[in-house]
Amino acid sequence: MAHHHPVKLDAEAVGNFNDLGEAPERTALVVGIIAVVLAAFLSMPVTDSLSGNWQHFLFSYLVNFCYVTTFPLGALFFIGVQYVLRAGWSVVVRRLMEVIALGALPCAILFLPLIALVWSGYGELWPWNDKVLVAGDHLMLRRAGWMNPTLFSVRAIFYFAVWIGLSRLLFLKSVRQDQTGDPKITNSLEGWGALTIFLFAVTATFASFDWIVSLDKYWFSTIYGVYFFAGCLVGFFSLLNLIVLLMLKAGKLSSAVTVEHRHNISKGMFFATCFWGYISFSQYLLYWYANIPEETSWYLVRQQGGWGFLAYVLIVGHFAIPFAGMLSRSVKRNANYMLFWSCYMLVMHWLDLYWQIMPNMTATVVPFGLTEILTLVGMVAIVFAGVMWQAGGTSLIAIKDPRLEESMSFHDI
Amino acid sequence: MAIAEPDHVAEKKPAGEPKLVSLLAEFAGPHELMHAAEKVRDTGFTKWDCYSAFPVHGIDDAMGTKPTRLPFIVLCAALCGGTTAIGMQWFTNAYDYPFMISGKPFFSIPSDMPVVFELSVLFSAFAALLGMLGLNGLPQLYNTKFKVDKFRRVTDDKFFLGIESQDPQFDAVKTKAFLEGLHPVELEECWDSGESRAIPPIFFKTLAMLGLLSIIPIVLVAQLRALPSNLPRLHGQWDMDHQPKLKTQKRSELFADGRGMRLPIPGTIAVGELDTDRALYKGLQPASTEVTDDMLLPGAVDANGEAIKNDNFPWVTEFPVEINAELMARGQQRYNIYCAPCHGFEGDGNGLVTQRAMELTGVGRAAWVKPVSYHSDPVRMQPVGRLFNTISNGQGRMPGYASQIPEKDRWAIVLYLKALMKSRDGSPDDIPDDVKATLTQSAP
Repeated sequence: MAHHHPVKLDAEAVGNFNDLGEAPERTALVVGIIAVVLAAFLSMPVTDSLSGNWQHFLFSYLVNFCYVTTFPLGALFFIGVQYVLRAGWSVVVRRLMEVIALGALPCAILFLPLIALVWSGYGELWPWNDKVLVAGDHLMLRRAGWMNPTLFSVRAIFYFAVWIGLSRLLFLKSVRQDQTGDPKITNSLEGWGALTIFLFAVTATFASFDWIVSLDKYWFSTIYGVYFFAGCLVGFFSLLNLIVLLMLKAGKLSSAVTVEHRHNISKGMFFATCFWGYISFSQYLLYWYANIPEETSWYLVRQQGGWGFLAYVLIVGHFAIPFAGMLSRSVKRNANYMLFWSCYMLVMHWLDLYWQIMPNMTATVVPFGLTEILTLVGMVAIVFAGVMWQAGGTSLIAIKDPRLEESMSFHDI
Repeated sequence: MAIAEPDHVAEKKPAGEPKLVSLLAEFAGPHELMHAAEKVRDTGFTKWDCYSAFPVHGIDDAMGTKPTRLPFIVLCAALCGGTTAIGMQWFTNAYDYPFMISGKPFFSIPSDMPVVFELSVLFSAFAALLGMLGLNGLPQLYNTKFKVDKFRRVTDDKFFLGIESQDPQFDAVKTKAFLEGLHPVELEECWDSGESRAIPPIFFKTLAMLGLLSIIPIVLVAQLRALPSNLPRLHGQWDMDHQPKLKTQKRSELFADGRGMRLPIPGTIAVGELDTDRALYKGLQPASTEVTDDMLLPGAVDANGEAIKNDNFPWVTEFPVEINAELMARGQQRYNIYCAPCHGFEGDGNGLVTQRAMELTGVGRAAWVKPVSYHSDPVRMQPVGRLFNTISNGQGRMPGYASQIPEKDRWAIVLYLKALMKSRDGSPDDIPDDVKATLTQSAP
């Protein structure tokens, strides 16, 4: 019990998001837009001499859009869980979760080009948008009532309205408490937390079907929403751990965040890794066992050639290696080891989404190249800019949360 | 500071000398306990412990407790569980009793995984519980400290620190002074009265009695199983004894043709029934595609309604299976079961069924045709493929045995037939030289 009587935190000493650098959002925004536009330009049909491919760019864009969207989604869910369970330990890092959740807004902006694409009638990304293909396919025709530009756009607007609304609400209420210290805000957020979990479950499931499952003409999976959710958690915990560790290295948060908090976040990462393994294997096992062609087609493509190699990389690299690597308590409490595992899991999470989405474009080769790298860098930078712009001068820690003392004196075992 | 005087000092128990077991210091709360623990730890005591009604966070550090070995025990148990699961599934389904389920491989990692997961978790859970109990020295059925009345409240709302007398640094006077220096609320001495620790005899008597009583149900069950009864059978699990499933040869209302057992779907082949080897399965030359399966049946007719003669079909003349003594013995055994009843053990066509049927035919109560002897030229000259086809599909009155005798056994019978024929048709040249020599010698 190292902290018998924790010192009250002082807003000045804790610092705020503006202290992190000289207007980093502006630099990030410029870099991000340049990178994405460059990737698009290199892929334009008119410049095919640059070995670009418009369809490849759009698939990369979708992969990276899904990638950056999983972080705010995981954050929304986990903040909701913290409020509903009246968790004390997490208060010192909850502001960081709230800020990660603010990524919903820039992600929405990044989705606008995809809505425009759907309305332009482009059918080489989502086959349900190919009118000729759908007209000649009985199954797709039957699904056209759900998968069409109008309903697709309406649903996307609904998802983002929910996510942006919830992320802003959780953030703004928490920031207001920084001023007033009103414990009633915490009470009211318990209710909002429950609603967040429910709305997250519904919207994330439907969104994953709209954006990823519908890339395949016929394939369906009743567990896919949970699979996507597992990816959200892997991404969120890894990113949160990375941010906390980098901030601690830079001398931020050290007045409040201890090895106990890092240990708990690392346990979250470990849990998410196991959960991902459990869910992805559950999906595979049922398809493998039933062995019905309309279901196994998805895995057939992803088990051959380069995609088959990537599948093994995911089994070993996304589950077996991090499971063994993060199993030990001493590893979870070691900042340097966890810095490595956070970066590693962020890469694996990206590969997982890439392996889910990209084979729908080309079943034969893994087309990884400059397009993927540019769109990834660009979209991460744009979302970072959007998040920093919203976070502004707010404190890095929820300094007047009624459970702050409990959180600071948190001791595991 | 009130020191409790042990009552047994006055009573003078005969069993042994009373002995100071430990010194117990009571503290006001968890913080005070923790501070005291830090000081005891720094003094270098080794046999001591803290007692509280709830886990005190940070007490491990305050007491200088070494990290537990339990995680490694659990990890080893998990690996052991996973290995057991893999080994068990390999042994049962791939080695000891290979059984085809849903067309999956006998040994397959995906289908093994759920069991690997479950057994890893099960072994881990047991290792965690039993390991925790073992490392803590639990269950401890007796602890002298509970003889101290005040100490009993440690399970409720008191906080104690106890130093054992077995500790190498322990000194009844100095240690007491040291503990007093930590400012406890009270300091108690815990004395062992020296009473015998032997287990009371009533314990063994009760155990023996329970052992005897436990034989009664076993004897009752044995009696019921051994003696006849006119009561209906007890159905412990009704739905296991009476499953609503379709049994072999039973009718089904579900299908239009009423068959419960379904024919293979056209265009499909069941596992193990891809009979492409025409020599092995039909007795025909591999290239003989002009002969269809229908033409092999007895009484087959061509497009004009004329009977098809199979004399000149391209039958194989060599056995498509490996010939050895084992196959010959098998053929003899199968022949004596399936063929001898009509054809006779020597192949003359006078088996017991034939003898009786000929008697009945003689008095007009049956119409039996005596089987042709194997030793007659028409049969003797037949190629082995045609003999095989006769066994498979029948000939004249004889039915086909394809459904009863597997291919390899039919070939074994053909082999034995050839041996039977040879027994009437041999010449001295067929006998190997060394055997011939012994025959000559033994002749008188």
